[in-house]
Amino acid sequence: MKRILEPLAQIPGVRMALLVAHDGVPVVVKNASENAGEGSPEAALAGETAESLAALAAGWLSELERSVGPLSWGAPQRVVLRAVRGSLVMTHAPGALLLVIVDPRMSPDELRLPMEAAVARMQRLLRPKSESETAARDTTPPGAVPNRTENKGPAPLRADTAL
Amino acid sequence: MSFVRRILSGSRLRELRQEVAEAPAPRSYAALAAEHARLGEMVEAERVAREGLDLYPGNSELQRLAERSRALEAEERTRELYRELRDAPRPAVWRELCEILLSSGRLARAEECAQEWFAATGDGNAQLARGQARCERFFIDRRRDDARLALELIEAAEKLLCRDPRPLRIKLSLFSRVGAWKEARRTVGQLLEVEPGDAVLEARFRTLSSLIDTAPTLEQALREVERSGHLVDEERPVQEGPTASGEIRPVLKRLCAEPGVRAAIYVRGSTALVQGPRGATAERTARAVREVVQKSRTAARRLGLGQAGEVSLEGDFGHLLVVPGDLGAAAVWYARSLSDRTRQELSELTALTGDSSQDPEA
Repeated sequence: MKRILEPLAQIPGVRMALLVAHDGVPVVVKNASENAGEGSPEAALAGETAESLAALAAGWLSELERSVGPLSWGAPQRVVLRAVRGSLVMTHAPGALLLVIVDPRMSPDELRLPMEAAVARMQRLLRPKSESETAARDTTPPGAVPNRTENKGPAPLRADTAL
Repeated sequence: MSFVRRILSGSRLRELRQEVAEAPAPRSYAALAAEHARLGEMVEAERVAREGLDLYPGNSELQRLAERSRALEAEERTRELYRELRDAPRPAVWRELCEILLSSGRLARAEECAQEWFAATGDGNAQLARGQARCERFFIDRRRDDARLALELIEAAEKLLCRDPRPLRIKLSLFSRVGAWKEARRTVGQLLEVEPGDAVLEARFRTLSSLIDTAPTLEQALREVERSGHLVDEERPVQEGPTASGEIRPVLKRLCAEPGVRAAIYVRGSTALVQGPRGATAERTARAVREVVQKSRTAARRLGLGQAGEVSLEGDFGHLLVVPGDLGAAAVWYARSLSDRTRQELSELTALTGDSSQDPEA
């Protein structure tokens, strides 16, 4: 998952990219200034910021869903909040929220494609292997002779043994 | 700078000085200030620009030059102080650095610097600088958590700096600006203990005493500031005044006529103008937009992003673009992509002032 967020975090102007559970718990955090190294005060501060940020953003999204609910609108799939000191871009990912904080000089529209690509990669990664194998088996055309293993019932009695 | 260049620039300076003396004009002052700045003499550049401003107040070019020279001077001094801190860290250097960073509005850096200072020395002044930086941040972002942290830091500084009025002054400023009158009065009382007989403080104490009956608690006051985005001492825009529906409605109609636009909404206080949907749907749409604006303003502040400028939602319903302004908020619900001109119009709509007597309608 970290590798999926890596390209997003490396885009110039991106401060932080997070994958957040719907209840506001950060799953993966990629900070643009992660070079500070683990265990350093900067990294600890970033972790703390990410936790509160994830909780606040998820809370805000659920508030927005409640606000537009009376209009029979579904949950927003992509939300952008532009502000004086930066922008927040949020999009639905499989079972989570993908959240990116960018600098004020960067347009959130520039992130549309990279974020969609990250979500698509996540979907590919989360698709279980067995599912893909089953899909592959289902698509193979049936053979001319029935498969032996498919014959699960008891073997028919031969007429001579029954006598 | 080479010797030849110094001679050349010296003669150029002489010419410009003569020009200022013979035919004083904003242009000649600006040219002289710019020449000083080019030579790296920022103090002199600022002095010339200020001299020009005394004669021609309000001249934008001279103002720009004065501010720029001052900023460059501060930057240069900041670099020197950082160098000094690396070689020989001591409280006086930290203090000056914090003061420069605070005055130039670099609050995050000022707080970091004060934190380093406190970690190194445990000085109460460091804690006070941290509190001051956080307090300034609160005045900009209006985030409740910032105010709480600022108060914690200032109280810690108060314990370390016995009978120092500075922490109390900062606290008083915070309490007064959010409208926490009870706390403000208590702080003025404490200040009077430190500085007895101060006539201004005594008068303030009496004024605050008359306000405390209806005063909110500190928590309520902070919550209100975070929700509304306005401090008590700020001049509020004509919030309850008449909406300029005469100006707004034609813009909303024009927006609504754009291809793909399903609704154009303008909300201000408890009133709304809606073009597109009718009846109960219009009312629900306006209410939804108002809630989105309120929640987003609070969220932007709490996320540390400052004042919200634009909110956009995308989903199976299409797109909703909301532009919150000081007076009201404008929104467009649309199916296709929106042109830049429409976005611009939406921003302009929120900047309109209420000068029409027409009644708004939902």
